[in-house]
Amino acid sequence: MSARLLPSIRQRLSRMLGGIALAWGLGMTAGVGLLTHEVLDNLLDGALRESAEILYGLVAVADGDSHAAPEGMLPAPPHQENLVWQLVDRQGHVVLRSHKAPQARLTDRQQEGFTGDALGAWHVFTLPMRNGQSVLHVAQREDTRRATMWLAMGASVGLTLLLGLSAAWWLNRGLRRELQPLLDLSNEVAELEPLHPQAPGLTATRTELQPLVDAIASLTQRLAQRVAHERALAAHAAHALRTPLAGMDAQLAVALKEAPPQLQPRLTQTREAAARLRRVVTALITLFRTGGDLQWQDTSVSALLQRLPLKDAVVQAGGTDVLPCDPDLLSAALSNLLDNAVRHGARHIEVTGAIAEGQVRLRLQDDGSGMPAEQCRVLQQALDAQGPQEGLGLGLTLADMVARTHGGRLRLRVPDNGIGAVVELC
Amino acid sequence: MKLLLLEDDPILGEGLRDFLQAEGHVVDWAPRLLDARCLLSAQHDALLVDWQLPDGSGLDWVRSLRRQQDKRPMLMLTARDLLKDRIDGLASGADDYLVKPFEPEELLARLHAVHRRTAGAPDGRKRVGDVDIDLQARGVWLRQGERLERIELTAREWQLLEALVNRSGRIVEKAALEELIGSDGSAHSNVIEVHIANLRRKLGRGLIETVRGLGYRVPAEG
Repeated sequence: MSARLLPSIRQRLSRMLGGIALAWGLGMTAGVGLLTHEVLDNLLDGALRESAEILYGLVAVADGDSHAAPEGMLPAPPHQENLVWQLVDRQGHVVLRSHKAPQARLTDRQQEGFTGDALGAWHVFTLPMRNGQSVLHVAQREDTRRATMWLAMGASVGLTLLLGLSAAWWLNRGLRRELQPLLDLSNEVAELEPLHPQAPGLTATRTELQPLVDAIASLTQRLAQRVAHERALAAHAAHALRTPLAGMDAQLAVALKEAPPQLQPRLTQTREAAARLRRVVTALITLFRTGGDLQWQDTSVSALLQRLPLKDAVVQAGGTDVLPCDPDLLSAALSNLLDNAVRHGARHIEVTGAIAEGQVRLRLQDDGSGMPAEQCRVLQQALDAQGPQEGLGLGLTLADMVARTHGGRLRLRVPDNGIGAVVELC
Repeated sequence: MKLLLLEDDPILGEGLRDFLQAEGHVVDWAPRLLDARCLLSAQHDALLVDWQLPDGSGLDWVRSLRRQQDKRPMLMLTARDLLKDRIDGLASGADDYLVKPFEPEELLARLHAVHRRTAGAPDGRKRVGDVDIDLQARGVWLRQGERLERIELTAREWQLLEALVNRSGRIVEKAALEELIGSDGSAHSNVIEVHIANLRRKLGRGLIETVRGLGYRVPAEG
């Protein structure tokens, strides 16, 4: 059976878990980012303020002594300076500054508080000196602050996402593990032989599966009872039908011997009709009695044809010598198809057996009157739908049922040369 | 051949009886097992037995006959066609197993085949002195030097000859012959003597021996 595109429980739950994990990750990222930004901003501002307060004390003690500082820059060994400071007098001149601080004042702000420089490169804290003659600017580079914030935010977001994805993976794995019993149960059902009383029953490995197992067990029990009933009926029907059919033929055979010549053709036709009836009934009994329980054997087309009366047409066998099938059923189907062909004027029929992709394929091609392409299409549709259709005789229906019990179906074809008909059981 | 047909269905039983009789056989038809037990005699050449009968199992009857060393050909005629049934039927001692519905021609062919095998003539031909007999084709030829001349026999003559040839080497009583060919067997009947005389005239005096006071005998093959 071809796999239909049905929604998958596992995929749906996986997608749902993935979505939840992603939303959680994004939410956490935004939250952590904002929080980190706020906390770091406060932390860095606090550090800037405290640095200014320490410098304030030192500058007050030094009292603006700038003699030892050429161009106001205090001497220092080579170093990386993340924090710079300036002491600016009332005229806006930089009196003292740290090693890496710019010569020009960072800002013209005079009151205590935070501000940015004119170019937006520095984040500055201003602290007026106690003498009122100068102000102290302590600054930090904006890009250093941003880099610090991005680093902290990146690490937080990365960790959050990693946690989210790990959780999703673990949940998905757990989900797969919990759904495995359902898959195992499906496999058990696929191999279930409800008609064999010795066959092992199904087992539920999860509480949630117990109702399903109980329902399947009940269904198979009803199915087995139904099949047993039908088989018993078929056995009775077989006996009730076979003996009168044999009697009818025996009586007709005697009548043919005793009848005057003018009655012979009529009796011969009656006997042929009885023979066809016999073949159909035999095929039906065989089909219904098997109940889909095939008796597989390796056989050949020639062996199948040997079972059949082939009086009115030349039947040629071909193809592989080994056909795994139920010979009783397949010969019953063949018998009906050959009858059909002969009734449609066939005088030469080719029956070819083959194995294609592990499947038995039986092909009949005849030289009879055949059928128009449109009729062929309509009949094929009726066969595919397994519904009633005018013109779809018992022979074709029965052959299709036999093909289906073998895992295939009946296909009707109009030959390329337009002569006769082609029927395939595959 | 003289046959015992055990079949409870009247249409089939009557049809088979008439068909086999039309083919030159003598048929005793028993619709029940009890009738078959009463009718069965040493003169029957073969038995045709249905499995399911109103008063018992034909299969069990065949089995019991085989236990009594009855070596006659026995054919099962039955509607039971399962593999297990066919195996059981043959295992019971039946020589062949024919599933209904069958054509009477097939029954006849199988009967002849089984009879040929059990009569020790796989090709259906027997030779007694200068006489060649084809039991299958129902033909008789008389050897005259290098030449074989076909001899025409009446139906009764053929029945007599077939009955004696099937029992070659054994004495067959006159009464048994009357029974075998379906004669009325009346006390003053000389039907058998007349037909025997005709056979001797057509096929030579050496073919059928008279065993005084006992009956007739065809010498063993050869």
